[in-house]
Amino acid sequence: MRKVPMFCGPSVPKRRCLAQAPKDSCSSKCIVPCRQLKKTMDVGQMQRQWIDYTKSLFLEKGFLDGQFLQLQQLQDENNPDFVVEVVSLFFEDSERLLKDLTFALDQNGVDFKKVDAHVHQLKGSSSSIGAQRVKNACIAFRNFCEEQNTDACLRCLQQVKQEYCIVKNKLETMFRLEQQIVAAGGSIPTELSFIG
Amino acid sequence: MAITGDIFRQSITEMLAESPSGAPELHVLAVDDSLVDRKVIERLLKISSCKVTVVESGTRALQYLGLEGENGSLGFDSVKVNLIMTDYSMPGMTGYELLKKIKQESSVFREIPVVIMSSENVLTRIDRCLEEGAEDFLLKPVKLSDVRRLKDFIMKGKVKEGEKISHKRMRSIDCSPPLTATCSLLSLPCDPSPSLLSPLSTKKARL
Repeated sequence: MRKVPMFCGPSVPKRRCLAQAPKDSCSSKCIVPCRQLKKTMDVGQMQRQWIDYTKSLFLEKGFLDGQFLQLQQLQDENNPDFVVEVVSLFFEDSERLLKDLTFALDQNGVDFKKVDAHVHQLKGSSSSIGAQRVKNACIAFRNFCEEQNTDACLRCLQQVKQEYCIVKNKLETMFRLEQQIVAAGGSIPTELSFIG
Repeated sequence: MAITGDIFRQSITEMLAESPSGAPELHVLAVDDSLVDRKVIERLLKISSCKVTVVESGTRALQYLGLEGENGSLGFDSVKVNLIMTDYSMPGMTGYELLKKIKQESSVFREIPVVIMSSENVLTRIDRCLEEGAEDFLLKPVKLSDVRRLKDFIMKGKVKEGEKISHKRMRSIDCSPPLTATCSLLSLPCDPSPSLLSPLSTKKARL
């Protein structure tokens, strides 16, 4: 369970460490070797780190909105994996839709109704999990579908793909942090009261 | 006193499904073509103590209700559904078309409240649905507070119905000769006593 180093020593800001630490090995930037990490990093620290990271997703650039908090409220001891499950469905759904969109826009005679229908679906599911930036990119996309502007649509598709990749990354990092907390015997904080 | 409580509870239970613990539950049929949304609405309803059936299309919904296919309206083990929540934009049959079909049916099905959910806040769309008999129009993403409010509203309607039914039963017991000492206590005045209502009001407050 030693994948991501959680703590780089007091001089390194925690957030930077998280974002830069590669998935499968200890970062060479780590001052404290992993074996010692377990002693210094307690559950409380991991939980605080999780809170910081989650906060940044909301406040820093609005990757997630209040709807994500709603989903977290629906999770409890009887359904501890609810958020992960919904988000996984979102990933599956989105990847399918992005593929379909790429195909549809690649045709000689673009069927804008079809393109719009796919974007509408993607907008819906991203809205349902609180993936705000993906949703907003879809809204812009739909406007160009109406105008039947292929070039603009292709640019929008790129934008949506980008936003999707970023939020996917962020969410996967968050879930990894959660796994580590749970593995260390702790629980995921439920109070995220910083969002109105 | 216990007997009147039982009659009242029995009336409600007849109208609602029964949970494994024996308490009456609202049975909601949710219709949505989106995988993500089906998962979310199912959880929202379960956490609100509703029995949930989720289907992916209007056609499936009608089949589930027993209104489509060869079985048609032969009342083939008709399932008791207390509320239908449907997405508006679906391929094939839209939520609006599903609403119309249900409202055109025989009295039992026509009376099931139908709620439309949509991610698009289009006034003409909302008006059309309400005109066609939709109980409510919810903007997606649907929140827990929406579901709770809806449930309260539906349960209130059930309480009124329950009162009417148990009322009739109480009257009929009044008329029959009392067989035991306890039965004779049932010669109550026609208005439901306040103590009859209070267990329900505390239950509503908890919802």
